[in-house]
Amino acid sequence: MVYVPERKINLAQYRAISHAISTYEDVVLLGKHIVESICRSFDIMAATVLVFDDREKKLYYVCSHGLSDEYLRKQPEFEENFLQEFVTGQPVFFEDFRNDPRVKFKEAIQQEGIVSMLSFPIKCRKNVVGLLKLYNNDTWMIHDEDKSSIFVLSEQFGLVIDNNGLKNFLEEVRAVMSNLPLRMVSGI
Amino acid sequence: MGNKILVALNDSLSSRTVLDYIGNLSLCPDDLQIILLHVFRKPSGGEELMGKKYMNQQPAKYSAVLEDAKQYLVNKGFFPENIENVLVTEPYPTIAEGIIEQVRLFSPTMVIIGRKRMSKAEEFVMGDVSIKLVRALEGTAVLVVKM
Repeated sequence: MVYVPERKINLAQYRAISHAISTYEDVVLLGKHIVESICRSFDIMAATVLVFDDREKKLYYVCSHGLSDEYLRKQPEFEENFLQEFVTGQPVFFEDFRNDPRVKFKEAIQQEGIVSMLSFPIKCRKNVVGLLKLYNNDTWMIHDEDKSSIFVLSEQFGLVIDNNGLKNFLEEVRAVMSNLPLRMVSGI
Repeated sequence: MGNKILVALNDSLSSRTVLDYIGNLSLCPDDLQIILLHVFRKPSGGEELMGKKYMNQQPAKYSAVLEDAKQYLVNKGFFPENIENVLVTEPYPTIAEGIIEQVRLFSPTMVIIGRKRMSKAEEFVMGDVSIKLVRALEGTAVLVVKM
């Protein structure tokens, strides 16, 4: 008999996360609440959000739930820039994360008690703008429908990330524009 | 009392760096009033996502963060009667605007805020409150503690 994991994200939860994505004013708080609610729904140990800097080709920490400060300093955990999620645009599952040959900080992972990791690309349209990583202290399976739900919610979150970035950028432009002499902004 | 310092805090690593920095400064505790400030933002869809109980607990969580910070500074030799914790729960469009409003109310001689090293992508996504404070605040010094 094939084991089929139980579905954890019902319509009400999907609606709540989706509504939060479209209404939260603070993108970091939104990320924090999303990772915490996912951890609670799936009863997993931790989750984190990282954003991708496409100039430096590096991932940077945004928020997390359930990971120690010490471990967060070690992220991302891979040798060089192993980012399969960026190539395929699909979630990647590391069943035995502690012993995966691509992982750099094996000792830190073991100390943290992490066994497996499921990584979702956070996409804005075609571009991967970050990763949502779910960690567990056991090997686990996720229902395909739940995987699809998190994948779609990650895409929505990606839109918010880029939208928030543009808002920050426009604020900077507005601040710099206000330094220009009036003669230079007349007609703009 | 001579100097009044407003310290903007949350539960981040950079806020802990700020406390370490202040704790190790050579200051005159009897001539110093410290305001530990947290601007709390309640998201409109928060209760639906996290539950009413969770959201109701959040102000208390940040009160505890401020209380821990106060205790840390007391252990470093600052006087408890000179440290005031302020948790702002009124809604502000941004954290920076909340801090700016509190600076207007308290008129501190210095505002201290932490800033983690950020890549271009992080700054793009998260913005930078410290830059907004440096630009917006007049008549007060702004100290940005980088980690």
